[in-house]
Amino acid sequence: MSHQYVAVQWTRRKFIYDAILIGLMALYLLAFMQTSHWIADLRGIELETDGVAIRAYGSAAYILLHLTLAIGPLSRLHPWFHTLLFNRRHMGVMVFLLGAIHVSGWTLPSQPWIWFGMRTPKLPWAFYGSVAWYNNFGDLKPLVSLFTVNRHFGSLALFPFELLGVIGLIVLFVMAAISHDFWLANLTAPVWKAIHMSVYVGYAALVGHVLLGALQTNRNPWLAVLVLSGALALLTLHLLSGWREWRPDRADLAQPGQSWVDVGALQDIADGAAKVVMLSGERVAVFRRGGSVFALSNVCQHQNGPLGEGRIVNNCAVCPWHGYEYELDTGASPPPFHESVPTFPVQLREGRILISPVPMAAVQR
Amino acid sequence: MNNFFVHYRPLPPGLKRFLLLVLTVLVTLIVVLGFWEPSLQNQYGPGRRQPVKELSGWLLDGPGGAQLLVPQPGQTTQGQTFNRVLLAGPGKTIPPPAVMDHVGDWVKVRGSLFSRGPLDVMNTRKATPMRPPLGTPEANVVGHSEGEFTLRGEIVDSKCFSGVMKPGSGKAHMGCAIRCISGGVPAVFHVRREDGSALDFVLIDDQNQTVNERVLPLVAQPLELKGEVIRFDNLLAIRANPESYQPLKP
Repeated sequence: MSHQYVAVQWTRRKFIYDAILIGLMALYLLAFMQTSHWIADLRGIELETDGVAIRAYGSAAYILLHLTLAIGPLSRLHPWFHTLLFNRRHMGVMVFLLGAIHVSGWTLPSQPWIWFGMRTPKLPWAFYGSVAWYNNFGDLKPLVSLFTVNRHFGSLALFPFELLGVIGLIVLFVMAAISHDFWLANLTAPVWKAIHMSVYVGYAALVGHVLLGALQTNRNPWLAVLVLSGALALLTLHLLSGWREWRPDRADLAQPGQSWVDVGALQDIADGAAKVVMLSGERVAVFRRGGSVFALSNVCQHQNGPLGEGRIVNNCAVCPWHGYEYELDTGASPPPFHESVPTFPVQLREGRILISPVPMAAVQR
Repeated sequence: MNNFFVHYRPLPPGLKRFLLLVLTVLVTLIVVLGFWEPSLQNQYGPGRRQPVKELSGWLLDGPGGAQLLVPQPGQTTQGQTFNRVLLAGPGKTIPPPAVMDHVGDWVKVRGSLFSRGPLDVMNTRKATPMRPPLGTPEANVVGHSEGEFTLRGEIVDSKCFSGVMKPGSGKAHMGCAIRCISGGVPAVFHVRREDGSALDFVLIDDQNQTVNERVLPLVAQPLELKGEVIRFDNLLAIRANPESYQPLKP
């Protein structure tokens, strides 16, 4: 948790997560590029390796973006997917890196040598990215060319789909640049999350980028079918998880002016777990520990995760997203951490749980 | 409760099987997509990048741009005297003065050769003037008219289309083609016939001048051209004013 800033708070599981992630992407890139060579050999025609690498990295970023965006709704639909959610930010950063390589190639590592007038080391995997490959070596700077070369904005068949990719990459860059908890703490979770919601603007732009590219360039309709299937699958997952959230949110238990609200029986809550209820427009996590109940705000202070989907560990409510802990009776994180969530007054009467919808002030340490 | 996951605590045993299943699904997905996607991509083409070569011939500026006329030994199918190789400079540029200063001379040039069908383009930085071999025929600078034709196709740049890039045509290649043609690389009208074969025509106006700057807004989109087709040895050119080019519905 955030009592100090370090680059990344590594755990063994994060190393494993990242190793699998990098391994999967390397496997995809290798399969894509090698298969491209096999197809060219079979057809007896020549391949242009820079173009292959541009397509490989671009499609890798696009596929990984789908996996990244699917984890959120999946983890709302089943808690086992929290095992994929906890390190999802590294996925997002990797999506940006793959997209940046798609655009700039592996030419960036050579820049420091060029600045000092030295001979650039030749990397075996080096290639020009899409901006340089299609817009450099001519009579205009590559970026000037990128933004001015195609002005057919009124035609769907000729629309500069590259510019949609620029929008997508900018959004991915912002996500990656502020992904660290330093920004989360300083921007505050609601602002940070609101900014991160723009990933859907970026995703829409990238769907347009890839779909238009496929329709304008490729004769094979399967590529467009794949792109649309991915978008449809993501939309379905989000609607399903949204429906699941929306239903209980409608059932606000508190009546205006009511001081104590009956939220159910003690025995309805599994020992060590919680149920989430809606009180005066706020989600409240009602935890049970043996014969005792505790009511805390359902919103984790870290990333606004669903605290009520967590469990009690060592007398603390633990958020299922990143393991942030809050003491059950005070809502404060154990020292040296300083996050805290509001708590709610609770009474137990004849096995029924009564909660006051007016929260107590969060304890500050 | 037993399967509650926190990343800094030991992994609950019940989740291991689930994670293995997820990993298996992901590996399968990645492998299937990695092997399938390349076959969906339009990244193959008949153009070829040949090893660096040295060629000798007459250096002319036109039609359509700089070209080298390399004598064809023996009997050729079209009875042509020369094979015409279009010339470009490094990158997306016209050949540098070290080449163009020798227009009209017999020269030796060295560079990468790109070929697609009868279209040859060489990337070169320097031309070395030489004495022409004895008995070398004079170049036919007038050409032979094949008549008036109406053609449907798209404007591409001759260099990348011939081998640097795949596919080297179509909308995705628009930016590159415009940079090349803007830089002076000869503009070519690529026509695909109904039987699947293709013909490429160097674009010239009715004064036999290059049209590069005037066709930039029309590059890489369907067009109809009406004009006189002229054969210069193995090279076909179409003579028409760019103002008369008709955009077709994409």
